[in-house]
Amino acid sequence: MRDPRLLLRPWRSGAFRIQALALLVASLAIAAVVLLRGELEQRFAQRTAEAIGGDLILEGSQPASEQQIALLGDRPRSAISRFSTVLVRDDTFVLVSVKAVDDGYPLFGQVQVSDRRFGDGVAVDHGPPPGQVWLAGTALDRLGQQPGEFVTVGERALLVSKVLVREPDQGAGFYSMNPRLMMNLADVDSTGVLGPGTRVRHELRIAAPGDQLAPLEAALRPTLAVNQEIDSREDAGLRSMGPLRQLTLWGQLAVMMVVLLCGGAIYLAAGVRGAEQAGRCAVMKTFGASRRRILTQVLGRELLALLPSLLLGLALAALSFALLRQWLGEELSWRPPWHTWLLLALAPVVIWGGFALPRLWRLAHLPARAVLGDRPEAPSARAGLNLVGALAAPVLVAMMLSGSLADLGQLLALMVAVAVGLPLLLWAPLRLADRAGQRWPLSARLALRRLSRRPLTTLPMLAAMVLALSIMSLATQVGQQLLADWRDRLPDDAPNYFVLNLFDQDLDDFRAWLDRHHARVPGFYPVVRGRLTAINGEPVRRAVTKEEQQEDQGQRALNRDLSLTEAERLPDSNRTLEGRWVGDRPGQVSVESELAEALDLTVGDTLTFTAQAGDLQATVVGLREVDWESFEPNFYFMFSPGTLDGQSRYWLTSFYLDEDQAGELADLVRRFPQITLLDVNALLDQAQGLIAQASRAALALAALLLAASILVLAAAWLAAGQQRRRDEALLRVLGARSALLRRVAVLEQLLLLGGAALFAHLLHLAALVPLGIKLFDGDMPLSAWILLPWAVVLPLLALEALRPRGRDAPLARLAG
Amino acid sequence: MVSTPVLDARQLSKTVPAPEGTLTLLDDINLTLNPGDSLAITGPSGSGKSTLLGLLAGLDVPSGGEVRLRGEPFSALDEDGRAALRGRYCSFVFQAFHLVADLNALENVMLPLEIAGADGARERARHWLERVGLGHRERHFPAQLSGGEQQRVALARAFAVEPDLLFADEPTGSLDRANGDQVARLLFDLNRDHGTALVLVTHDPALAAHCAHHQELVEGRLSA
Repeated sequence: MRDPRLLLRPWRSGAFRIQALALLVASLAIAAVVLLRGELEQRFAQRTAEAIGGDLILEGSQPASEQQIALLGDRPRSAISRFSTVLVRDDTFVLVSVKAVDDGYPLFGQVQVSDRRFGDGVAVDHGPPPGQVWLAGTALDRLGQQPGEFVTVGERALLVSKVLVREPDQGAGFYSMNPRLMMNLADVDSTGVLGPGTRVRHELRIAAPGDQLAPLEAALRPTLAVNQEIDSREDAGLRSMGPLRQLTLWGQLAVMMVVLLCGGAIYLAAGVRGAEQAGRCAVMKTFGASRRRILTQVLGRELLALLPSLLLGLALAALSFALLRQWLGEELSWRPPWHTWLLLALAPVVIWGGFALPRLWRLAHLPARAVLGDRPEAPSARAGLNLVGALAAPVLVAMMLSGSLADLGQLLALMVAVAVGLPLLLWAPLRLADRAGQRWPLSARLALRRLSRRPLTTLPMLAAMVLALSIMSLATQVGQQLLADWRDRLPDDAPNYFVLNLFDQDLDDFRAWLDRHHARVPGFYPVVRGRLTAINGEPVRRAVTKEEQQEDQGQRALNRDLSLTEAERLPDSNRTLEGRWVGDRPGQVSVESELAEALDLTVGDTLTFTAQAGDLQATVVGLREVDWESFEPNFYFMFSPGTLDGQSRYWLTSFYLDEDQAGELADLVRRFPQITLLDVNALLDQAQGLIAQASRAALALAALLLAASILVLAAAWLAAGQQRRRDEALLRVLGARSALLRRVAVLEQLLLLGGAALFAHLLHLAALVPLGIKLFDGDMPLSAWILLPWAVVLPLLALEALRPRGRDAPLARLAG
Repeated sequence: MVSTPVLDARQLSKTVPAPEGTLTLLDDINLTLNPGDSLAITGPSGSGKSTLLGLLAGLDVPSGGEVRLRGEPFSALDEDGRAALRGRYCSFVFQAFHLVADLNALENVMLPLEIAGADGARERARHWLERVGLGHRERHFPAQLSGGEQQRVALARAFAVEPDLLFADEPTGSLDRANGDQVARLLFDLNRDHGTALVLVTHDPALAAHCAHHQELVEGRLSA
C-alpha cells in the first residue's frame, strides 16, 4: 500500500466501524475463553498428576519389569511400595499405612513435615533418608512417642526424624484411614515385613508431561502383566473433571453466542458497506478493472484496515490473561503455545470471512452498466453462499474453542438449541403483540411494527438481550446475595462444626466435653471406608457399563472409597421413600434414593463392599431421601447395627457450639489432637468467595454478550437507516410533528429493550425455581437484583430520547 | 365575496451555494390556485419541478418570496408548524408511492387521519380503500401489492383526509401504461368529485392535458 492513510479511510464509514468493533468484541471473547480454558486445564492436569503422584502410574503386586523400565528412557520417575504394618511399643499396637519411597519421590508437589507434634510444617521435595522414617502425628500420639525416638518396623528399628504432616499424593485408598508412615525404599528388605502373600502394591510413577503421555501409555500397555495396571493423569482427570468441563462448556457456549451476534452485526454492516462501495466498484469496472483487481483493492484494503481492531482484541485478551495469571498465582501458569496464538489471530478473520465476505465478494460481480444508474447497488449475495459462510464460520470457531470433537458436538448442539430455541420461544409473544397492536395508538403501532415486521433481525437481537440481561441479574444475585440469604435461613442451632477421625477410645471423653459445653449434637456415626464392588454378585465395573450414559453420580460412587456407617434410627434429616429403615439384624442397608436410581438398585438387591478387614455384604431394605443441606452427617449407605463389626473405623459427628464459646475449641483440639475439626462457617465463607468469583466471570461474559447485542442493534439500525429516514420524512410530509417521530423512536427501543428486560426477569425467575426448591423449602429467593436489567435499559432509552435528530428537508430525505 | 385562494405563491425563489457562487434554482415564481382548480407544471428534467413542489408544500424553505396556504404564510412557522398546516390542508401522491412498508394497506390510509387526530380513522380509511377498489386487500402490506395497487392505496391515503389541496408528483411515472391510465383516471375523478385543488408535476403532456391550467418550468421560471 503506497499511502498508509488510505487505511484510515474506511474508518469514516459507520458500517465499517461496526464491523471493526464486532470483530474486536468477538476476538476478545474467544481469546479470553481459550486462554482461560488452557490455564484451567493445565492447572487441573498438574493437580491431578500431583494427586496420583505422576502423569502415569504403573501399578501392580510386583515391581515394574526391566523391559518396562527400559521403555521409559530417561524420564523422571519414582518407585514406591505401599503396604500396611503394625508398629509396636510396649503393649500398644498401631496399624499404619507405609509408603516406602525412593530418591525420585515426590515427582510433583512437596511433602510437608514438622520437627515436632503441632509444629509448623516445612515443605521438602524428598522422602526420608535410609534409616529414618517420618510418622503421622496420630500414630506418635497413640504410641506415646516423640520425633527423635525409634520405632520398630518389622525387624528393624528406624529413627522417627520428622512428623509427617501432608503428602502431595495423599489420595484416598484402603490405607488412607490409617496413620501414615513414610520410609526409604532401600530399608524395606531389611525390615523383613514383605513376605510371600503380603498385600503390597508397587508403583512406578513416571513424569510424562503434555503429549508424551499417550505414546508412553501405548508403549507400556502391551507389556502389562496380569497383576499390573496403568493409571494416568487423564484417566484420573476424567473421573473428577466433570464440573470443570461443565464450566468451560457453558463459558464456550456464551462465547459462541457472542460470536454469532457479532457475526450478525458484521453481516448487516457488510450489506451497508457493500452498498457504500458499489459506486466505486462500478466506476472501476467501467474503466476496465478486472474482478481480481477490484477484490484486491476493495477487500484487501478493507481487511488491512480491520487489522488494528483484530490486534487490539488479541492484546486486550493477552492483558486479561496476564491479570488472571497474576490473580491465580504465577507458579503453575500455562504458556500458550504459538499455534494457540495463531488460532486466536485467525478466529476473527474466519468470522469476517464467513459473515462479511460473501456479501462483499459480490462487488466483483457488479455489472459495469450499474454505473449508469443513480445509485449502483451491489448484487445481493447468493443465499447459498451466505448460508455456507454463516454456518461454516461458527463451526470453525467452535472447533477452536472446544479443542475436541466430543466437546464440539455438545457445544454445537447447545449452541443450536439456544440460538434457535430462544428466538423461536420469543416468536410467539412477538406475533401476539403484533396482533394485539392493531388497535394501539399510531406511535405505539408504528414502533411495534418496525420490530414485528422484521422478525429475522428482531428475534435474535431480542434473544441476545434477554440472555445477556438475565445472566447479568442472575449472576449478580447469586454472587452478592443468595448464599447469604440461604445462611440466614438456617436454624440458629444448625451444626457449625464437623468432626472426623474420632477414635473409639476417645469417644466417651469427647461426648463428655460436648456435654460440658452444652453443644447440640445430632448423633455420632461410626465410619468405615469401603468400596462397592458387586451388586447381586455381579462385579460393579461390569454392571455399570450399562449405566455409562447416565454417568456421574453412580460412576463417582463406584470409583472411590465411600464412607459407610451404621445407625439404630433414621436421622431426622432423612426420609424413607421406599421399603423400610434397617432393622436390628446385621446385613441390612438403606441406600440414598438418587444414588440408588443412578445404580439401578432396588429393595432386595444384595450389595458387596470391600473394606480393609475384608468384604461385607448387605441386603437393600429401603431407599432414603437425604436433606444434604441439613448440616448433619449424611451417608449414601447406612447399615443395620453390627454389620460393620470387625472393620477398622473412626467416628464422625457434627455439633452446634455457641459462637462466644469458639475459644474453647483450642482446648478440644488439644485434648483430641487426632481429630479433624471443620469449621462450617469458614467453609461457607470460602464457598461464598468462590461463588463471587464465578459470578464475576459470568458478569464479564454477560457484558460481552450485551456489547455484542448492542452492536447488532446498531448494525440493524444502520441497515434499516435509509428506510427509517424515508418513513420519518413521509410522516413529516403528512403533517407529523417532531414529537411524534421522537415518541415512535423511543417506544421502539422501549418495546425492544423493555421487552428484553421483562423476558430476562422471567428467565431469572425460572432459574430461581430449582434453587428455591432445593435451598429455600420451595420459597422463591426474590431480590431487588432481579430488576438490574433496568439499570442497563433505562440509560439506553434516555440516550435514544436525547439523541439529536436530522433537520434536513423531508423531501430530500424522501428522495434519498 | 372573494374566497381565499387555497394556494398563493408570490415572488418565490430558491438559491443554493455552489463552488462557483450562488446557483439559482427557482426565480420569481408567482401562482394562485382556487378551490377546485387544477394546475399542471411540466418541464424538462432538472428544471426544478420537484424543488418547486417542495416549496409550495412547505417541505422546504424558500430563499425569497412567500407561500400562503389558505391565507396562512409558511414563513411565519417553524418546521412543526409547517407540518401541522400541511396536515390540515394538503395531501400528496408521489411517483415512488412512499407507503410505510411496516403498515398494511388500511393502516397506510389511516396514517394521515391519525396524525391529524381525526375521529373514525379506521372506518374512513376502509371507505377510501373501497373507493379505489382495494377493500379486499386492506390487510396486505405494500410488499404484497403491485405498483398500481400501491399507487391506488396512496391515492386513498391522499383523499382520506379530504384535503383542500393535493400535490401529485409524477403519479404515473413508475407505472405501466394500463396501470398509469387507471391511476390517472381515478386521480382526476376523485379530484373532480371532491372539489380538491390539484398541483400536478409531470413531464407527461397527456396527463398535463387533463388539468385546467398548465404552466411550464424552464430554467427556474414559470411560463404559461
